[in-house]
Amino acid sequence: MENMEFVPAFARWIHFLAGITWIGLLYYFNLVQTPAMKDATADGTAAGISKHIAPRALLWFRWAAVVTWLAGAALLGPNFVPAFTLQPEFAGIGIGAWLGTIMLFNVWVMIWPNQQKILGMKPATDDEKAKARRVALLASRTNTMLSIPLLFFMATGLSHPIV
Amino acid sequence: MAECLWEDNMKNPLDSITGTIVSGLILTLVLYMFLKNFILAGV
Repeated sequence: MENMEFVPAFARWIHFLAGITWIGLLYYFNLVQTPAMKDATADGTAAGISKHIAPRALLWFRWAAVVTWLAGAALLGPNFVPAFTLQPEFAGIGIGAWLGTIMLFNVWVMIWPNQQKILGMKPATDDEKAKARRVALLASRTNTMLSIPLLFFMATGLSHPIV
Repeated sequence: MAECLWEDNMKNPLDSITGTIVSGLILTLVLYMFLKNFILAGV
């Protein structure tokens, strides 16, 4: 492998590993944990999920998001600006990059601070927890929705050469 | 009045998994059309 090929190949590998961790946990939250919490609350077993599972899942979730974005930026390399400014030859992956950036923002600004209130890591009143649940749910669902076009533009390689 | 009734009956599609997936598919189509018809139109 030529030296010039090593960085994009390594960045792509890390981007895939971290991305699978991030989006896999996002789908776990939306398809498994959130629906299960209703049943667990009903039979009094929700505390175990809130105490032992959710904090660990959120730890891997939010840091995998950061690593995914950084590896994606490294993969774009000199094409970072052309992608984010939607220059025609990089517009497809640029749309994906913008979607990923919005999702990273949602993780750190909308989901994580509200989950800290929900899980009791930050003090919050019952009203504040109820509001935090709603905001965190909608932000998480928004990311699930955005992941669908994100993966489309990554997978199809529309308008851009494989970088 | 009809407008008020419509707003009262509106539901957020992100409240359900099915609505979330359908919204994602529609957004994919919208962004694809945007790419093809605006950004790549003159290329």
